[in-house]
Amino acid sequence: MNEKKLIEGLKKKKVWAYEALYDEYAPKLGSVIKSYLKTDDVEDVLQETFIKVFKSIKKFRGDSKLSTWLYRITVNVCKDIIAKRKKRKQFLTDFQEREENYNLNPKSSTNVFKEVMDELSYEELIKVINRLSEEDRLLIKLRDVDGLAYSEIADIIDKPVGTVKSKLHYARKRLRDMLEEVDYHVQ
Amino acid sequence: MFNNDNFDRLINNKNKPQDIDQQEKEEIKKYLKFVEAYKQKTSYNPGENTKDRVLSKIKKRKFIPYRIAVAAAACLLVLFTGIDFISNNTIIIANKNASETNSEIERNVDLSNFEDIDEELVRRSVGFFNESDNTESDYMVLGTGF
Repeated sequence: MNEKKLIEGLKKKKVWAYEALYDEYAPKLGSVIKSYLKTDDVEDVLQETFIKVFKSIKKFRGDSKLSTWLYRITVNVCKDIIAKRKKRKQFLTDFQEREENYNLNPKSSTNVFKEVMDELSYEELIKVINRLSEEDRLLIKLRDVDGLAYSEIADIIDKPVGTVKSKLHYARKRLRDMLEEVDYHVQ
Repeated sequence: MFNNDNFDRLINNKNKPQDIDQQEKEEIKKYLKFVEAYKQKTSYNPGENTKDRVLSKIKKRKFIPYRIAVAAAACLLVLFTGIDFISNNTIIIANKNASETNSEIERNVDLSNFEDIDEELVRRSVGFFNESDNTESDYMVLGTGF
């Protein structure tokens, strides 16, 4: 669908526009949420993200691509959730429990994924993911997995392009060190 | 192990590494394998239920201003009806003997309150209710209503 038409529809609060937006972006945004928050329960966060889009779409001036703006909102929602979790200790406990569930009982696509992966490699992968910081996970996800441009990532995390490049460089280095440490198998 | 920015350059450009040794090739392969695995690990396919939930929340939010407008209109209607009712049911009780300038007593009489009040008590208190007995009263009713 034409992005301009979609944005117009979103600004006019047309339901069809939100439906189209959901169909196009929910998988991408859900994937970012899953990666950043390290959880499979992305529905509530995704819902919050779309409500935030609904509330603030009028502020979207079109300076950046719609997808960049959506990613930025998603990252901000995730940051708020992480801040809340850190603030409340009981939330932290819940989070750890969820983390354990995440490791032991991966849902849906994860199960399929596990089937096609060697057991040992899977455990190693989880180990590495768990050791990466939130920011490292986000940067690697946006650049190396989703293939976004540095300028887009800079817009999303609200940092200069140079900072993004430097942070990503160190994130990759840390990841490579970890892969080396756990001796992640290449099949 | 890479000790310069070659790794970033190779990963960013996605070029086939040619001027690197076997160990570096392995490292790139390992990294790309991890990225591919991570991509699958974080892939997300939203269900129809989630979509319905999100869209219904958005629809609810969309109609909030209309709901507020309807509620405000209803409140105003009740308010004006109430004011109209009270002003149409106002009686003025004036002292017959006093001069007009300083003896008028205006009271709002709520009909519903009279149901529970002893009639005799009312008769004694306000003589104008006792017109059938030709009882003299010091007060007269000037308003409209009932």
